[in-house]
Amino acid sequence: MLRFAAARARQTAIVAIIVTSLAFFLVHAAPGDPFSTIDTSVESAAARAEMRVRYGLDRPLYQQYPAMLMNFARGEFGTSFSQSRPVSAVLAEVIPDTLLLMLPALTFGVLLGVALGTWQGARAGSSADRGWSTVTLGVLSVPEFLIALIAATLFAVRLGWFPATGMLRIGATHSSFADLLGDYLHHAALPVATLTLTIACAVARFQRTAVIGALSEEFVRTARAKGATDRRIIMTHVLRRTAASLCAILGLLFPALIGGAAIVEDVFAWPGAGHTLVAAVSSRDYPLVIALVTVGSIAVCVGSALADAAAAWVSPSGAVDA
Amino acid sequence: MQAARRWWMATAVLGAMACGAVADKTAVIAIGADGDALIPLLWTQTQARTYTELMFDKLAEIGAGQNTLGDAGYQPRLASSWTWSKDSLSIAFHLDPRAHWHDGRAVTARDVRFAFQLYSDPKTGASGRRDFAMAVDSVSVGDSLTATVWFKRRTPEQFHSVAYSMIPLPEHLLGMVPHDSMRSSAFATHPVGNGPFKFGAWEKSRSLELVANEAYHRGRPKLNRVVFTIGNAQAAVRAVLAGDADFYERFTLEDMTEAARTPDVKVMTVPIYVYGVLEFNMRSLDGKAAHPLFGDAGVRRALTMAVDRPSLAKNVLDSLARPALGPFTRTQWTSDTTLRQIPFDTLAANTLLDSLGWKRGGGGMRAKAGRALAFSIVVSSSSRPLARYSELLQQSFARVGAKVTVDLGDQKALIDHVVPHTFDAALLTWTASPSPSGARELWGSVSLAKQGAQNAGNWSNQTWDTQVDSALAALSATEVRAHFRKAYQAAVDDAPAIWLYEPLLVPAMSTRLLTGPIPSDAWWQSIPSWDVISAPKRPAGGAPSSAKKP
Repeated sequence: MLRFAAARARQTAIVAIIVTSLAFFLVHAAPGDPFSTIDTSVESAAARAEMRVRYGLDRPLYQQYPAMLMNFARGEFGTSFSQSRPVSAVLAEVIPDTLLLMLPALTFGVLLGVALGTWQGARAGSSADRGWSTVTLGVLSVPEFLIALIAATLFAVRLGWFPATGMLRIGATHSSFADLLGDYLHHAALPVATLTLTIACAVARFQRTAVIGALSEEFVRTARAKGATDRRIIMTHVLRRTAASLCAILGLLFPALIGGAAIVEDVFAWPGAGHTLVAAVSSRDYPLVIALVTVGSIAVCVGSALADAAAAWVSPSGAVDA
Repeated sequence: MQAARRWWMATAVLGAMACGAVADKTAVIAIGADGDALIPLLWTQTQARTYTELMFDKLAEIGAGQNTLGDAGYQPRLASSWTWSKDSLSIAFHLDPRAHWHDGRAVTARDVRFAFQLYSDPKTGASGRRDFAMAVDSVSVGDSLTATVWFKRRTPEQFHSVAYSMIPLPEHLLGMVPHDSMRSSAFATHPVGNGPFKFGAWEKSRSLELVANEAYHRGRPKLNRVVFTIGNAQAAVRAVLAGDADFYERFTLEDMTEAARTPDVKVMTVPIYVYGVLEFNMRSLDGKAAHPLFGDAGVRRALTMAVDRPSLAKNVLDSLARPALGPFTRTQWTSDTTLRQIPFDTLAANTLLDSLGWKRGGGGMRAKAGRALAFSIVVSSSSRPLARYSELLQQSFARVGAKVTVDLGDQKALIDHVVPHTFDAALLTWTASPSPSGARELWGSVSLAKQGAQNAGNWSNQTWDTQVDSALAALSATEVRAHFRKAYQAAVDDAPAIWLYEPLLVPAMSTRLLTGPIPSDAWWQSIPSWDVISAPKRPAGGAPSSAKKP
């Protein structure tokens, strides 16, 4: 297990360096200057030049790049151009907010997806299975932002059941933790539901196939011969059998989940990392963009490693492939 | 009797509920982006200007007539009155003795002089300093409540250049801060102003909260709190439609349709100081020679004739825009709606291009001496109207044999073309101000050979330059108007740009919000007189604070 962790840590470090480097060169290659504005008076030009010196942008890229890598290695992400404060302070603020969106969505999405996929797999070929297969495929073929927009328009704007934007009531003071939690749940309902829907549909499709495969295996026939009920066979044998492949699939879904969360955050103005990344890109906030992309890539690596470890743990063979 | 008592009790309870509901009086305003610095002289973004002008008062405020000539259109703010010298080369501003900074210190003449020192020091990097520095020589302090502003020369807008452009700042708080460190000072994020609202809290890129200044010398604002919620434009629209926010200043045509279905939301239209143009570059991309196409006024005029500006405005913005008439807006007091315009006439455009030697070749496209009549238009993808305009202009120009490619990028990419003048033609919107003086640099030779968006197209026209200079030196409104009319006509005739449209601002708001008329130059200036008449759909909560997280 230690060898596995060490190998994955090495992989994560390599991926982080590659992604950070790509992000660095891509943001610098994009047209536009972080400090350019349409106000082009002499004073503004001088102020711009001063800002470029202050943030080291007056130096050539071959000097900026190694300096940035060294700083990142020390955990120093620099100062956000657009927010005039340390990038680490921005990350400390936005990453928990993103987790408050992603973790419930991942939890509900996996639970719903496994339940639906297993239910479908157990009655594969039935009209109910075909109907749900059409629904899950339909949801997955619609872009996430469109689902988010439809949800916001229908449930927030038209019906007024939920807020359309934000994470908490604007400027609110909460009288108790229950009040705060209720406020969060009210605001999180639509964005979490949007993410949950897509995760659940993706997981359901994988789970259905895995259950169909497991049900045709020898051990199921043996269990049936021993008199086990269908319910017991699925709950005890099939779910265990499919858990490993489900974990592997979750590892693959993780990058898509992070991308999807960014889109959903932007639609619902959820003040998380994705929403911040979109704003940082448009304002050419180089340090913030690079830091967010790097943190995102590390999160994907860690997520994949955890999924692989979980797959190995639940796998009957118990093998861990570093 | 018992029934009557029940009625009375029910009414009392409902009344109490209603009173309690609006007791908070918080207005939530959605905005599309955050501001940069909270010091008036340092803002470079409209959002920061919005915040600061609610916290800091000017010496005097422009009136509803938006007249910048002399002082007749101005209303007292920090200054309760002012006295002109006999030669009009100085104005003594008498500060309102009731005016105080939010920390309780009185606003004094030294604060006016201190602001002048900051505005006139290039190290400060003050926005819009140029007009101010050109007009004002010095500021002297008489008694603690009298600041005298000395001018370099008499100009029709000298009062405007001080009262509108220079905002007094607290010397006792900023006096020790080096001028080149203002932006990074603690004051820039936690300002102490003197206006109707005090700084509350600022969660960068999330929200900014202002609270009513109970001791405001002109009377406490009706709202207890104003909370700006910061997101993107689409989220701001949905926030108002869903009742999360009370106000967003910029609905589009599509948003208005949605608002019409929402009984709790009302919209209004406000003429503003914005106009959209297709600006031609008179110089080649390297800037060393005349542009092969747009160096010729005939080509510019022919292309202008190819564009049906009223139809395009109708197509893109329906009733939310009017065709522009020149380098000004109808809201400016020097505007002239009787100028002779270049008419939409495709036949005449074709004839003119033929006469200039641009002959049609294969595919109907024109060329002259081996050079195709082809150019690119740079446009920002963040403006949907302009992106749509680029497609329609492409079609209009194709009808007269000009091949156009559209270079669509984001706002930063557009600035990358406009500031160094590396474009053929650019679709731009310009924001003017109540004063027409800004046109001098925006379109005049004074900005030639400088990096910058001012006169991005390198246009030079002697009539324009002399007439604008004469207008800015004239002392009567009639004279100013007459000179500007000649300048505007020269611009229309010489066609440095195609004057496309003047959009209307479409603020949308909750029906619980009473705003009164929205000023054309700055929608936020009426916020101190706003009120709420019922509880919000989603109450913002009680006392000001930063939101906690679970």
